[in-house]
Amino acid sequence: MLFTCVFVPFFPIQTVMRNVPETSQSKDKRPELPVALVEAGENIVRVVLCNEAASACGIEAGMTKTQAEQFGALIRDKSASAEQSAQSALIECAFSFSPRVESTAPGIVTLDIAGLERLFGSPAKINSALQAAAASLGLKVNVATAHDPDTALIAARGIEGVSVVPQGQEEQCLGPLSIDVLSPSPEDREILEEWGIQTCKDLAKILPVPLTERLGQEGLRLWKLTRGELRRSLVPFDPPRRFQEVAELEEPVELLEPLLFVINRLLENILEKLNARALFVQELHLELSLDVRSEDWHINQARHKEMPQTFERTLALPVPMQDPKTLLKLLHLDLEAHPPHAPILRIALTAEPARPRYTQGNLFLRAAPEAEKVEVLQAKLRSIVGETDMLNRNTVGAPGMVDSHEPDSFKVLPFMASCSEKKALPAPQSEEDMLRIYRPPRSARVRVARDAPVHIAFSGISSAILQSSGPWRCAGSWWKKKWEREFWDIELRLTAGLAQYRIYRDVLTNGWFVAGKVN
Amino acid sequence: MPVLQTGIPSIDAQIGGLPCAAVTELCGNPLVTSGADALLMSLLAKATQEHFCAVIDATDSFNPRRAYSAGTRLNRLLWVRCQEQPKKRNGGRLDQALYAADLLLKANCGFGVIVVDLADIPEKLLRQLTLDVWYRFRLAAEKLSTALIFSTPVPVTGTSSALVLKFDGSWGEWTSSGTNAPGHARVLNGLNYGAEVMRSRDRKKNVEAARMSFCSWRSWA
Repeated sequence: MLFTCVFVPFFPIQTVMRNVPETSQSKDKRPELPVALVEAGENIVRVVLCNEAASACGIEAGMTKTQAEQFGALIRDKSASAEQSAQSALIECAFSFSPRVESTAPGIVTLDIAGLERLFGSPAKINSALQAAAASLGLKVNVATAHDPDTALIAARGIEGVSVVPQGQEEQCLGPLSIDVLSPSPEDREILEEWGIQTCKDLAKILPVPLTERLGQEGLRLWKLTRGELRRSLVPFDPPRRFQEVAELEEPVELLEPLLFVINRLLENILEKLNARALFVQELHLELSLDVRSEDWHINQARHKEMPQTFERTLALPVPMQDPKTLLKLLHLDLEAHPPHAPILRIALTAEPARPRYTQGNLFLRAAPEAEKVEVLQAKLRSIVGETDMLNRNTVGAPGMVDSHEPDSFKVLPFMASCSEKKALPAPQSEEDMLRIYRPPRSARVRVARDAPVHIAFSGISSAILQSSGPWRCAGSWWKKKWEREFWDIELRLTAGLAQYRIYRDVLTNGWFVAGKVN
Repeated sequence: MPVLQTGIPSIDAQIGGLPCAAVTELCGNPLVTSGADALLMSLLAKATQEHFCAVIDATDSFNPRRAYSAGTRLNRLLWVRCQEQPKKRNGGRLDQALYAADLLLKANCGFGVIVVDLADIPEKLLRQLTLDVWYRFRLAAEKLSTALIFSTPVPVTGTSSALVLKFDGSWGEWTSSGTNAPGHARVLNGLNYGAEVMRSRDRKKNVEAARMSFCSWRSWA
């Protein structure tokens, strides 16, 4: 059996920094920045963790935030949600290499690589590939391979970069490492220091029986670890089918552009995770936590108490997609059309996964427009003409028939989704087959003689009716929103020529309307 | 120049069809029955058999039931319904339609036919548009293999159009059981239309000033 451990040094710091949009620093250079994480205590905000660069500047854990700021380091709040996101990204990354993955601890993932040599090459190559994959997630990791999970973990903790511990040489490989890599309890660490034991090699030299007499079973466990003799089984991780990324912002964001900057980063992380599992996005759910109580906003918005504290948008895609530019553009257009009503404090982006769409090409059929292009185009068109009309029907899409006798009844379906629609459409009403519809119907003044219209005036037209045909009565929806009309086809002689219109009398209101022009 | 058949034999015989990669203008008085819509319905029914098409409906007047009964494959038709925007001057419908047409051309999604229906837009508004607007559309259409068709109340596109068809009136075919017959005994069965070519860039065919007539009948007639 072969196990590989992926260890993220300064995991809380790296998780916070991976969501910071790239500026002048590249991903590889990020850990080099002096960064300190702070956490609010009972009364005061203190530094809980700092990286090596920050330590070199003079920052140490326990300092107050004000003290740490004087060293010119980047100060960030510790974020549990960011750690969770990074951990799930790391697990997804590991799953792209092996089906047996263990989420050992925050920032530590162990995977079983037995039998993967044929796919990825030697363990050293696998380690390098894992390191590169983690780097694409914005994480700088140490990767080590050994014949048991604990040895691999110790090697990953102690040896920077990639390493392979051959079977039988565990003691030699782990020997030079500090005993800190074994994570002993503070009491045991103190005792071992008093004995002058600094490295794993020193600990391995001690006889196990006297060590157990003094430190108990924990001492024996540490001793076995240094010699690579501890054996345990991997606890495989059962991956949830939820892909979510969360970012908590330092300051409330009001403008769309900086917000999209952060959303782009979250989207890229989600797509990395999905890509690792060969999945596409079917639906994107964006949840924004709003700062409705911020002082500036309070001044402008007197009714802030009535406002909801979260803002949610769902982007349902007609076909599964994975192109980050397309998805970001769709989110951009959606947020432009429906802007949040207060500054944003927290962003949660969730993706519903779906299998990719496979389509068989046909030599004799013209290729359909690209789904991604059409979706962005439809979103752009919606931003111009609006999303729905007064009757809540879509304004952009493919027209569809509805099984109803109601005049001018139709639906508008998403364009690409309807392309594959095989269901037979209901037959249309022949009464409307030559009509150019007026939406909404134009109000008209009609003079009636002997039960037939003889004169009409509407939209600047006033004319005697030459010929009329009707009335054609129709009614429906008495159980919901009743309609009852008497239709007439009429012919007028205007200065420009003959004109045929369809008019109707609304029986319920006794008003006359022009339904459309026969054209 | 490749052309798209309209599906109306008299027009196809006279002009061959509507040109692809070019602008075509169909003019018809918005108050009277002109026949421009009948031509568009026939064209869409024919074109959607092979192409994906788009209709930009400036006044939201497109009749999907009519298109379906004419034989249009509705799932291959993108319908953009411009809506009245009270805050905009004159409702903003013309601006929406032109902007949407520009987007469709720029997106280059492979639409074979793009119809921009401006037939009910006031003539005064259309005349305010400068010729460079239409010229830009001409250039965009020429880069693609799309037939870009404007339906307008009066000719406005000028030399940017490769073909201008003017629809100049109609007369109805009424059936009646007698001169004093009641209204319900009389039915409008169909319409006869007349059209002429006002301008054609295809000089070889010498089709200018050619008159054409066609008719459309109701489904029961």
